Amino acid sequence: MTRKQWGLLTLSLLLLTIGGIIGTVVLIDPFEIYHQATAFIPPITNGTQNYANAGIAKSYEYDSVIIGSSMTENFRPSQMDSLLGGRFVKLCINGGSPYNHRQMMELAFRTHDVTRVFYGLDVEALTYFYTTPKCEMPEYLYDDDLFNDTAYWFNHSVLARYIPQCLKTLGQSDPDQRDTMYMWGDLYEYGKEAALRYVTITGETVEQGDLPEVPELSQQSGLNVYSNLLPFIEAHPDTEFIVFFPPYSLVQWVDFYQQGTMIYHLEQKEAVIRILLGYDNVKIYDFQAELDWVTDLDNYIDAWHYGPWINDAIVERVAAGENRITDWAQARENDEVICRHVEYIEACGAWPDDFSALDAGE
Amino acid sequence: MLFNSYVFILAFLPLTLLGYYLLGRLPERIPLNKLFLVLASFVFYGYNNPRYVPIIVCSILVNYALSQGMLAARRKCIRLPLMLLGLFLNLGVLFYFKYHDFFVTNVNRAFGLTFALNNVALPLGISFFTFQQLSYVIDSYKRTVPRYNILDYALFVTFFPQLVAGPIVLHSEIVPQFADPKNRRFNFDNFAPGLYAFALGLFKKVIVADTFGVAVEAGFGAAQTLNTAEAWFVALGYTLQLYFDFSGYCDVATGVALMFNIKLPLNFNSPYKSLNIREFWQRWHMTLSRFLTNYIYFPLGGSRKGTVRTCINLMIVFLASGLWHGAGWLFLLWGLLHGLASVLYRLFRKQYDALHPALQWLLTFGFVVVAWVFFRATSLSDALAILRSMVMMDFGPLRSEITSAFALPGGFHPGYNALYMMIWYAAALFACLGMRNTYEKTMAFKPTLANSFSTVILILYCVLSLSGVSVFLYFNF
Repeated sequence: MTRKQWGLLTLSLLLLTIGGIIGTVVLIDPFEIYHQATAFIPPITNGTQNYANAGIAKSYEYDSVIIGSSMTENFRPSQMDSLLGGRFVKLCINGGSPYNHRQMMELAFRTHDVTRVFYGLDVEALTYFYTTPKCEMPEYLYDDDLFNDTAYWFNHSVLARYIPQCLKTLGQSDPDQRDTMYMWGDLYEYGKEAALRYVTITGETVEQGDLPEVPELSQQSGLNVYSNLLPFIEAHPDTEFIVFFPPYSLVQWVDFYQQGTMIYHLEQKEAVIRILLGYDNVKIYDFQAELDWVTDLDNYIDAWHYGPWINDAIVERVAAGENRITDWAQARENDEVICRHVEYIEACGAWPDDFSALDAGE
Repeated sequence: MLFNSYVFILAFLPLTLLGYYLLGRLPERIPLNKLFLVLASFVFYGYNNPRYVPIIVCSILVNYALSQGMLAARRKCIRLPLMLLGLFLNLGVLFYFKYHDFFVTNVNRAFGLTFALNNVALPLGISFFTFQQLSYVIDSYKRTVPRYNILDYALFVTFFPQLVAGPIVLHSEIVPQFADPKNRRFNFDNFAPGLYAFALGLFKKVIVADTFGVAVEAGFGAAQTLNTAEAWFVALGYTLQLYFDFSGYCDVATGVALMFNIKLPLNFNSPYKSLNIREFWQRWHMTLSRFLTNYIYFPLGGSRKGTVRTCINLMIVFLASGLWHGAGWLFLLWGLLHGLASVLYRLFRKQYDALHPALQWLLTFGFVVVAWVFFRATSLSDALAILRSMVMMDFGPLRSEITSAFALPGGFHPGYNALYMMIWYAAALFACLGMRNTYEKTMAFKPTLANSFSTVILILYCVLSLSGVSVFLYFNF
């Protein structure tokens, strides 16, 4: 073999294999970046959602998006379609920061005519740094630059794990996937024990204050709202933004109280509500003082996370226009309910299974 | 731009080769191919941070002007100030970017002052292109160099394979090769071994060095708490990482340059096979040793002025080498250790050479491994803690942060990782000590089906290792 023959052979092999790899990934496209999968069930899981969301946002047909953390993962888009109208998809990022949610909205608005955003707003996530993703994202899938898709084409996980996974389900389809994707509702135990697993009610009085130990964190709320949410609301006056505050169990507020940050979080929430009330295309819903839900620990797998039936109920309430905040005094009232209940729980020194004494006092 | 990036492998390199050889078809008097290569090199240099392109452009123009001035002037009294100005400017820029903050920090600490730091990022490859041009400036002063046109000079400095991490080439090695008309045409005789060296170098850097790098990072991060076995594995791991990283980079540079029909000088000649410290420095980063020998050691008198002066000169050279590697006390200490070892070898050479070669190798390699600990550690206390752990005879389990770097894909039981780790170390040591190095393999390149397939597999393996899906399950909100 001459060096010329060797060079030609090696270059041809390189070109063939590289072309073959690109062709395979683009054709099968497990994360649906170029086209929605029709011949197999795509690998959309909680573990891959920061990849899968890029494909959903780019390739699916929709006019409405669900944005938020794990608090939004148990929503059923089909229920939302029928109750609220439109066609919903989930672009949830569990553990995501407002910056992550901004990344989702950017892609959705860039690729689709979005008429409605259903946004779950977590008060604690407002303290995450406003210019960095809390969950690292494969940015190359979220932009329009075809050249940096090389990281997708030559991705060893895509080739070795996800394409074989897709091929295993060849010929199958899962019509419910739009609803079931990211759902974790039936994976965990619910109840008092689960909800109180990581929080011990001390019964002690704790002084409430700012987030003094990390001052720069306490400045993030405003920055997050102004940089990662308002620009979309202002740029899309014809899009309806349904912003809701998720119903954490009261155990979570006890936890905030015991950390000394309950009042801080409530004040931040009220401040955000006051800002959002100034926009005609925003509807605010607050479920955090919905006592039937937040005092019943059978709804929870931990202090934060409620079961899918609560997601369904949230959609029903929104469709019926209930729990809507149109005046920030209503939000203040809700927050006072939370404070009173937290004080009562702390006074009991343990989780009171019965709140009737407090309710009777009201 | 990094060699181990998609943009380099899939776009920059093929397009630059194509452009260079297409323009090489023009008549020789129209050197558009060289101009193209200079411009491409600037793209390579400024790809991640274009702000530093003006620095290298100014550096080239000023050094070229000074050299032309010296080459035109017959009288030494004109050349000398120009040479001193060149030294001052080159070292001044290097000082400003590389050593200013180190110097000011120490002055502040020593005298309780608060001089401001620059906090500027080090321009890529500044140590390399500064030294490379210094050699030309000094040789221009001596009038031992020919006059080059600005394009040839710029190409000598910027030729991208060697621009950011060496080898530190001499003008006399590069410019005549670019001037040779037969090198203007694409040549499979050079391209084939070039591609082969590129594949081997990329594999050494991306797969071998970066795998050891994960374990080393974890080990040095926990420097204060390592047991004896871990400390040895971490020190040895860094020894291997550094060699595979740097020599792999140079292999890629050699391979890519060869694709352009340019032969770069050998920079790593299996240094861990050395039997004494002098030999080590004749095999490790050889072009830096050559520079320091020619431009510091010899001007100081080398070994011609008696034993004491020789020892002092050796110490100066190694301290300069330490400082060249980085602005920090630990680099200086590392240089000092190598200087001392070189002096001791100089003084006791007869006795040392009488030892059994196996013992000579063990002493040399052991010293190099220990010295690298100072080179890599972020503080003296970390370095000393690792060295202490190495001799404490406190054997315990290997922590998973270190062994998991060697895990096989596929979710095997993590208990096997320690076994894989032993295999990695054994294979890497064997590659360093028992195999021919890339340069030797490239020079003796024979086109066969086997090395064609291995070239393709290695390149694909590296390209596919650059990106994966990092599955995350945070699930707390």
